[in-house]
Amino acid sequence: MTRRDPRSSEHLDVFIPMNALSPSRYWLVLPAIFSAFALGAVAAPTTPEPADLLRQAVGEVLAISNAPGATPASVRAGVRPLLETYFDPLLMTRRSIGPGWREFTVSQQQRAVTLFTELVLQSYADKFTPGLHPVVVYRATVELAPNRQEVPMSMTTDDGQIVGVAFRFERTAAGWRIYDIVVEGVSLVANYRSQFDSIFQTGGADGVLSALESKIEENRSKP
Amino acid sequence: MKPFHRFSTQVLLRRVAALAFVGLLFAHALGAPVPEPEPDDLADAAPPPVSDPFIRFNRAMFDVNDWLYRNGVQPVSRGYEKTVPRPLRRGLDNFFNNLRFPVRFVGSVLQAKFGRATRETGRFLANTTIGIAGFVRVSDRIPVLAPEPTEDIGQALGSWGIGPGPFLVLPVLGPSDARDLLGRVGDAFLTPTAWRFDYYREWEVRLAVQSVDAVQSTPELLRNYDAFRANALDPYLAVRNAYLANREAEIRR
Repeated sequence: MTRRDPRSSEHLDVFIPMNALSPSRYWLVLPAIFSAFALGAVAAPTTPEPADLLRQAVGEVLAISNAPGATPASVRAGVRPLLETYFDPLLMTRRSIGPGWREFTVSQQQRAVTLFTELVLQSYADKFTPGLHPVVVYRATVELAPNRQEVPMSMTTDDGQIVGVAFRFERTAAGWRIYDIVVEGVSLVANYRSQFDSIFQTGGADGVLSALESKIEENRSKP
Repeated sequence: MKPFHRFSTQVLLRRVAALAFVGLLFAHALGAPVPEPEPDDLADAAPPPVSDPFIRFNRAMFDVNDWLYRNGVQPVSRGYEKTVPRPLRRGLDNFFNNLRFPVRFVGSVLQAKFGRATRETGRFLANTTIGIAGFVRVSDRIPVLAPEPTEDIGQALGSWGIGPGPFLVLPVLGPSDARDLLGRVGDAFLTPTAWRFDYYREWEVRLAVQSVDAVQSTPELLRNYDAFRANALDPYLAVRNAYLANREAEIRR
């Protein structure tokens, strides 16, 4: 979700018609310009940080799960748009497919994003059930690269199982977005990468698309 | 003609102001959360290299196990879930987990995790006594004995720097590697349900206890397996990658 911060750089747009100022007034205007320059540098990038976004997302998911009268179907239906909000389908797909992505045509890339997003939603939306009360402990954010961060956390389920989960975020033009989930050391992206690599080597981009279509159909046909 | 110095100051000022304005625009552009381009952002999620020299055998065994799970284990597991009430299933799960205390304790000690070994002992004592032979996990209600990641011999071997070796798919037991195969042998020696006792019909009793343990542990395992299989494009590769990555994470924590 995109939020506009009141201090964002969009509020610092300044247009000064230079010919409207007499030379003597330049001296008066220059400090203002430099002040604005400095203010812009300080106040610009204030989108919500990954850890805050994750807390917010977890809070929203638990609110849906614990809503009065929640059913498996209502939780799935409620969680799905949340996943679509916090995840970046393009990032997740291209990272999962890996270097082979460059050999996809634009239309194949678009198709891959649509199909892979559907598969991930099929996979993850079903994991959320009514009445979830995990104890969530957030760990310190880890910087993976200049524009990538990982927020690790541990969840203790109702039956005492501890599950280590890490959410990997990348900074996009729309703010930080999740591109990978690592559950108990198993990265969703790396796991699919190992499968896509093999399929791509034998069947190319068409093979990957066809495998995705078959899997989605197979899942849909299940009761 | 205007004095040269006045012209010069005016031009200079105009240029400085223009530069400042351009700088402001740059500040605006830099302030927007646009990511820096990276040299190859597709190359950093590649799974680590895997040793799988027995891949043909492993794939065949994977299919055999898959058939067994669907046609043998799953029906039994579903029957167990339908006939045994949930509180009893939970109690049995707690009981058998509590029995595996020696595996966790020795696994912790071998990694010099003495604090964890001490807390494991505390959990075992609390659950065995107050928790009625381990059927009730009372330790969860004691803050200093809160659940922790469990240890085993395979993890201890990994923490000593021993690599996983070739990936293996074992009959019925499923995915493993050479290191964990050795670790499983150690685990078996430390699991009381496998110990030999000298009592009447010892063999039959042991078989019965082990069967109950096997059946009670299957529903959760099968749920995870099914979920994993449902989302995989190549289930063998997905399970292999997940198993190896998960074990490495368990060794690190």
